[in-house]
Amino acid sequence: MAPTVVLPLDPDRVRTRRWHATNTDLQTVIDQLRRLDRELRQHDVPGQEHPHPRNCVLNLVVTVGDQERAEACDRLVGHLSTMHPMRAIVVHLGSSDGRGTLDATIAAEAHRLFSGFPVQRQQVLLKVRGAAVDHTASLVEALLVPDISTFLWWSGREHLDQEALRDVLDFSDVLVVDSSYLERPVDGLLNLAGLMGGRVGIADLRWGRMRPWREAIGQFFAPRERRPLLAGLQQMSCEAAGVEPSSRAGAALLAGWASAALGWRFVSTGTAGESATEGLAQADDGRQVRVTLRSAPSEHVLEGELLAVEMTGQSESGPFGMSIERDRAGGNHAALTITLGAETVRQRLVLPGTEESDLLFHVLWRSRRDQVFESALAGASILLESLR
Amino acid sequence: MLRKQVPGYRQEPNVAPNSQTETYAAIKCQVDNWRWAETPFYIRTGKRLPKEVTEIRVQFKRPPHLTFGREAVRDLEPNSITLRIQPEEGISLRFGAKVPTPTLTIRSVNMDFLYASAFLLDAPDAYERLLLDCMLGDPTLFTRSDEVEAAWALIDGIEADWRQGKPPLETYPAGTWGPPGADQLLAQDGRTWHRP
Repeated sequence: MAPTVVLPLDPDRVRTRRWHATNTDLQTVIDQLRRLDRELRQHDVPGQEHPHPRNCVLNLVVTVGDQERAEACDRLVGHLSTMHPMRAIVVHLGSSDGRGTLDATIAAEAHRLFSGFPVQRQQVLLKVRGAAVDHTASLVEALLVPDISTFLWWSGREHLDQEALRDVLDFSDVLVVDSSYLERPVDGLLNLAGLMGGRVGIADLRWGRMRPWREAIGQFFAPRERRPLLAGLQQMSCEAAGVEPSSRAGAALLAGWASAALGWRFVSTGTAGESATEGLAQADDGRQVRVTLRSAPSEHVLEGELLAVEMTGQSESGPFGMSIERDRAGGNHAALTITLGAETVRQRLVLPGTEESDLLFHVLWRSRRDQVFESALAGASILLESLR
Repeated sequence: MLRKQVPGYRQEPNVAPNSQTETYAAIKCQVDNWRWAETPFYIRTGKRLPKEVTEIRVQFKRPPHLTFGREAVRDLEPNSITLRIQPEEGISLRFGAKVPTPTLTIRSVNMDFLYASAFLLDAPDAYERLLLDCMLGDPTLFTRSDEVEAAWALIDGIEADWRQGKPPLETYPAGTWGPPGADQLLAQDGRTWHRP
């Protein structure tokens, strides 16, 4: 399990060099990056002493569509650097009209961690406008550190289509999105599903946000004596905040996770009124499981976030069920109810804060592929199709 | 083997408008002796590629049996040594290491030597050193004439075909690593180009 804390930078342990230029060119950016790096290294070791070698473990490329988001991503990436020494390239894409121009800001930082281990972060903010927007991939690729993983964080709301991704995926090892944030989350997730099985791994920050729900469901069935209940499941319903069918995308992902893990195969899907989608799945033993995805308006919970999950079934010892009901007032807790025959147990489930930096941190910590997520997405594809 | 020309090359100063000079070539060579049997040499060079970089990568064969389970080595690439000629001169060794977690997972990691980090000195420009050697009469870093002739003996045959338009000269998009044919050249051997 990855550490869960993203430490803020301690200014006493960080030395920074900065450079900025407007209307510059790529070669100048590369030269300045090397110069700042050399200056920091020379500061580390006076004289001829052997300095610490390169300590960069990944490239992180972030694409953003507006200035405010670019600044937010710049700060967020800065906070991640003590745990992930990296070269981050934040690309702020402007309008593609007119003459191509490139503005660049570089921040190179040398950190000395509490353990005494020196690490380094290099962060390049590129503001690309005009004709240069169509050549973003070649601008970025020249700045990547070779032989380490390159994560591409598609942080904008723009539609995630194959055309837009074609060039940038060429140099990426992992594509990171937050499907909750996309303008068209259902199409975005289906496009992600289309990338599965290729060279590039995929990750969704929404998947990390759903972790407490997945863990609670997993823990219910974890004890040995409860595992036979899995074979008696008859119904699963997931409710998400929102009105539009697209608000049920995350609910579909959770149902896809269950279906992939338990070997369910969807035999039919369809709408069930304006605010629900239903699917009928068949388990390996021929048993049928009804899956319902619902939307419910919520003032306090962001659109697309999960509000409730319920799983019920019948076992040899009687009916059973578990439900998770989120605090509708927007609190960071949920009510967990477990019913086993005549016995009912209620627990309070804490939903930890899911800051973007925490979620991204966990994605970067992983290796290239999250096979559980990819299986969940594959399992959810048929439900997502019905949400289009 | 394939040859290409980048669009706009013929519009550059002092270039003939009907120039047949290639600006990109990708070649697969094999040395026909027992020592280098089954060891292909892939060479790729071109103008207007995404990076200005020169390197030699020696990729080791994957052993027929990997000791750890398939899941443990999912992200493991073949071991390799990269000799970086420019711009960041150095040598990188890439090999598998166990990820420090309770589970058994092997992932590729780098061990890097960088001239700029190790010595904190600016190396002299390549021609600066060679010109000095010329003046001193030191031939150590120069290619010997028989080696040059052997190299041209290999290239002359290729060039003769190219002059006759075989294969035809086509273009490739600037800012990319070349045409799809270059990828296919390796794909038919089950390999891909390393991105420097």
